[in-house]
Amino acid sequence: MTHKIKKLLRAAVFLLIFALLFQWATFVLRDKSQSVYMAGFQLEERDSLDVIFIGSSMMYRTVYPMELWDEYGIVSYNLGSSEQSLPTSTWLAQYAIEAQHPDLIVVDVGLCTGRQKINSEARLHQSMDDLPWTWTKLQCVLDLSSQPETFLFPIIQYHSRWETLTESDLLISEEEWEAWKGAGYYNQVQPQEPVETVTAEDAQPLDEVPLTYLLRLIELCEENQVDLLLVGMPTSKDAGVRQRLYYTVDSIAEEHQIDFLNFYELMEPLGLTWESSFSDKMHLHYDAAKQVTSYLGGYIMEHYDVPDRRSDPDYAAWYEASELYHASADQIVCS
Amino acid sequence: MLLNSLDFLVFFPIVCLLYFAIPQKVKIPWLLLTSYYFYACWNPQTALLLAASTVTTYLAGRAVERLEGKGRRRAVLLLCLVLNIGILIYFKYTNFMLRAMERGLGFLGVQFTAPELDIMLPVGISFYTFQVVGYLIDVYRGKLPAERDLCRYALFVSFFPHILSGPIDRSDGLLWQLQGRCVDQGLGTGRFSYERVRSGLLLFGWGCFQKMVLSDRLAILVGLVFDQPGEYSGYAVWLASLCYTLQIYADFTGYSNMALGAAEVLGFRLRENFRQPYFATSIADFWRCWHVSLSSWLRDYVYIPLGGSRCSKARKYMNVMVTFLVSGIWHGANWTYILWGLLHGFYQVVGGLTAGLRGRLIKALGINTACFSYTLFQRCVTFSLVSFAWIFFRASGIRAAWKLIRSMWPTGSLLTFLRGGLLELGLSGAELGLVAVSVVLLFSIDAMSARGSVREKLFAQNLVFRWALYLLLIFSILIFGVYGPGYDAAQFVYLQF
Repeated sequence: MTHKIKKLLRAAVFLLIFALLFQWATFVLRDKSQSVYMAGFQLEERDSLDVIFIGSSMMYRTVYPMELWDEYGIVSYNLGSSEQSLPTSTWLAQYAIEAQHPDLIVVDVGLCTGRQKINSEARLHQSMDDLPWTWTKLQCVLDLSSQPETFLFPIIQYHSRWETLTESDLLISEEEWEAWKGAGYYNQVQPQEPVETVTAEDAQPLDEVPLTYLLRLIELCEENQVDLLLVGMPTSKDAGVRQRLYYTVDSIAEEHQIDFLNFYELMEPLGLTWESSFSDKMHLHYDAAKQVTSYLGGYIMEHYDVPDRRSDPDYAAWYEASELYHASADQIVCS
Repeated sequence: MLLNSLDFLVFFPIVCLLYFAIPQKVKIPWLLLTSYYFYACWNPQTALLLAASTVTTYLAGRAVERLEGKGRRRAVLLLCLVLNIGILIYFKYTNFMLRAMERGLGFLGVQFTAPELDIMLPVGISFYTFQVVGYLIDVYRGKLPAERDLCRYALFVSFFPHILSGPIDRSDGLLWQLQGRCVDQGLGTGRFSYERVRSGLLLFGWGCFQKMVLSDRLAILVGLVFDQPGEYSGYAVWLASLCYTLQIYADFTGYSNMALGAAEVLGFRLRENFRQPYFATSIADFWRCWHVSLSSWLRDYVYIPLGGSRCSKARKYMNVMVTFLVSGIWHGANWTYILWGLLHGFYQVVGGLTAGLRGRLIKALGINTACFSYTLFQRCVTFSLVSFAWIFFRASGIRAAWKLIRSMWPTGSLLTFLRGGLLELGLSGAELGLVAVSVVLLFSIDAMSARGSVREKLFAQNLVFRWALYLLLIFSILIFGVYGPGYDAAQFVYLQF
């Protein structure tokens, strides 16, 4: 009996060592190009965030939580990620509600142009891999991915990265997470051609998939008594289609008494131009994005019950985070 | 489901855990159920075909044993053989025969367009058909009594570790173990054995390494060159040919090791299929070491019944050619396989015909045949002949094979190829390095195996060393194995979104 127990214990210890090494190997091999944006979310104290921004890169490269903190005292996080589809955004909204119970969720609907549930497995990985496992994450993966095993065991997806590993694969800088709260920036200035002007009469219906998930998002927020603000960021790429779809989103939002901010229409009032405000066909550069951030912050404070936390001692750490943010942000020059 | 799939990693532990936990009388039914589930994962309809083959040969075996009169017994045997081999021929060779007929009639000036029939090849049919045929012939010959327990017999045929790609078992192998005839050797007892599980898992892991790290990686380079005959020439074709020689070995021996390892975990021993074949010193020796379960089957059920070597030399060589023709046909429905088989037959015939002359030459030149250098020379010659024959085995057709062979004439300097062309064959420098290390490891293990059990030597080492090796093996497979959707950096790079 002792001999058997000894063997069992040995096997258990071996499996434990294997599990630890497996965990470490998975972390090292995993693609971490979006980790700097997504991973910081788990560091935020539970139920501490009042606003969460969700969407594709048109969101996370446009809205800066630390700017909102500095100007309005809004405590927020930007859960945007590259090519984040509307279905992914809907699941992330559910995830965020469960983790933080925010007062307001702001979702960019820029990728309502998509017809599939996800743009690619890679993009879903980038949105999900850094978030801790919950029942919602599992449901999201099973709903959106055709390769769910690669989420349960990311090593299946990433093992072939062994050839291209670098030092940065061994560590992720948490300081950067603290500083930027999920946001990123572009500082190149690339003039864009002015786009066609589209009117509400030209509204185009949403495809079935984005429509289904948009309605699910609205229902989700209603059920959880979380305010929802929809925004549509301006792009020069597919501007015509995007604007037509934005008018449809506007109608749906109005039906459900939800605000929708169409930034194509807000470009002029904000002083944004196609010639000087963009970094490429899809994104505003840092300076222009700060203008949008400022406007959005003011809109939020005016229309939603979001507190100014600047005098709240529980949020003293945000001042330190702001210093970290400015240490890098103030060096940015858009040219 | 393949043995090296994620599904199997879930399936196998469940099968094993329950197998060791359930009462003895339901162990065989449990393995039978899981074996059919494993097979049906490919296609449930083909499981019906497997069942049909099993039942017909089971009944035929019982009938052959019971019937009076040699004539009746032979009639039942022949009927069942024709039925089962007929099924194999139908599924595997119909389209090939129709195409051959089209060609043949075309030569004779007769217009005939062969229809392309949509016939799905049941996986593993070549293996299990030969297994049941061998069983039936053994019963007919009186070598063993017919199995009375249908469940036991059905498991012998469908046992999931060997159903897809062998080894082709014989009645005195797995069936005896299932009958409880080998309990004194600790086989087929149904009892959990830590040592056997450990040993089986290690063999399984080594098989995974051979298949997933080495073979599947070599397949990338081989595929690039062989699937585009004429696109590459010179050293690239030489390298691809060499790589295929290694790929097919790593693939086949890898899968066999996985099968043997899985069976060993469950407490069964399957036939060893490979005995360091690339260390063979002659083609005949090669065939005593390569795919042993098939070559011994062909020896016992084709070569020896034809007369074997107990006849005139001319007849003997004819028997060799026929046996290797059957081997070629068994491997696939393509003229390349037939040519490959005949080539191996031809090698042995030539070897036989020139044996005397070579012996006299060796004596005249005073060559020492009892030294390492001579053995090495023999191994190199054998390896070269085998590698050349593999070109036909891998090529998509005779013309493609011929194109590849013609393009093997080296062009340009080897150094130039090593510096530049080498990295344009689908594998990066790091991967080529990994292949080189894996090949050295493969042959080192082979060399050690020739002297005794490598696993036994490993188990005699200290715990820390053993565990380090186990973890190295597992993580080598996890990290370097070719599996999964793969990481496409371009998909992850931030584009416009």
